[in-house]
Amino acid sequence: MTEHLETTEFEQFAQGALDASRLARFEAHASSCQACAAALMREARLELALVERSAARVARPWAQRGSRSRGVAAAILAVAAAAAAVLVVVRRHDAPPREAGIRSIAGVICLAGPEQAACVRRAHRHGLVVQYPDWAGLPPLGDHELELASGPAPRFAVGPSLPPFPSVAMVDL
Amino acid sequence: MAGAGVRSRDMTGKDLGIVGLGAQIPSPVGHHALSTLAERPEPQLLELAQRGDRGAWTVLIKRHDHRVVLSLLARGIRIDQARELAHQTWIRLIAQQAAGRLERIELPGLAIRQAGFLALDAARRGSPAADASPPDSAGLVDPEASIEERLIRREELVRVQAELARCSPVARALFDLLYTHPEMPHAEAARRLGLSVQRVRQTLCEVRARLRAAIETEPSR
Repeated sequence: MTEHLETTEFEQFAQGALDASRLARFEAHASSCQACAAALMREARLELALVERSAARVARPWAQRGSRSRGVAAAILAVAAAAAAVLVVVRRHDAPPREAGIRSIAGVICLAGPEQAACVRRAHRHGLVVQYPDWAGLPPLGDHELELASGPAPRFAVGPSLPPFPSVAMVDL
Repeated sequence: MAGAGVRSRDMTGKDLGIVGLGAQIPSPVGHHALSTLAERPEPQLLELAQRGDRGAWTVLIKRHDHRVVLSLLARGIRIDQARELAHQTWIRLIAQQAAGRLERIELPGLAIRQAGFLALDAARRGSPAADASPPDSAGLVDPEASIEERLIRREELVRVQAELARCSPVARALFDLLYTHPEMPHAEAARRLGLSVQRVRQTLCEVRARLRAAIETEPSR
């Protein structure tokens, strides 16, 4: 085994800045060196976090400064944790009984963050209602928007998990 | 690994035989020239790719392949395997598009999801319960990793944000600039911020070291 790769090489790789010959040497080494493979994984995670941060800045420029940014980030974590908790409940209880005159539609919890827009698009494509966990008011609900806006507040009950969405709820209208 | 053949299946599990990127994306004769395509904005390229323009696919692959590979590396997949999975990812996406199964192309997200599936499938195939055919992302299947993995990633993002917030305004401005415009050379970033190129590189190095340390801290659970 030759000497381990340099930190600057990991950084340059992550940023796509290694030229072809150095790239080939880098990859040959990282393929066979466990320590460098682990370092490469950490550098990739850092790079993806930086890219995500940049995407979030572009998508939500109002939430990027100082303590507000930290507050939003903390809220995201709390909401994600809450969503995870919901999922656990979903798997341990049967679906609640439905009352007469109430119809249920599948809903999807789309976590805040850079993936949220894609989650919403997927949900709408499959005819699912979206519940934003960090949204205080009613979310835009595609075809159901007017119905919900004019009717009573929906009862948001937890239903079975529905692939491909890990956190799914049933909304009674 | 580009150019190497791999055995591929379509969504129904039908064996497509040994295919490679070269076979899936022939030279863009009769389509748009690559040099002009490379200058087009992303939405136009995606639209062309949606219509099966091979040149557009070539440009998009060149543009997004690195992110796909990084996403696999971040899951702890070895670099040689990550290259191979990324290669298979593009083959599969192009096959799905050709079969009319891609309702909408969104990159790099779609490719990252497909790569994630292939990685999971490769891992499953190591177990006795593995299915006969690998999954595809064009349908319903959720791309993303488990919710635990999402939470870990989210926490890493939060840590990066928090650590950057503690850095100097110049350092933050530098990262904002370079990650908003990833193609920008360091010399141009230095000019815009009134720094020397040496100072830019030094700052990047120092701040990345801080961010790395922040990410590597044991998660709080």
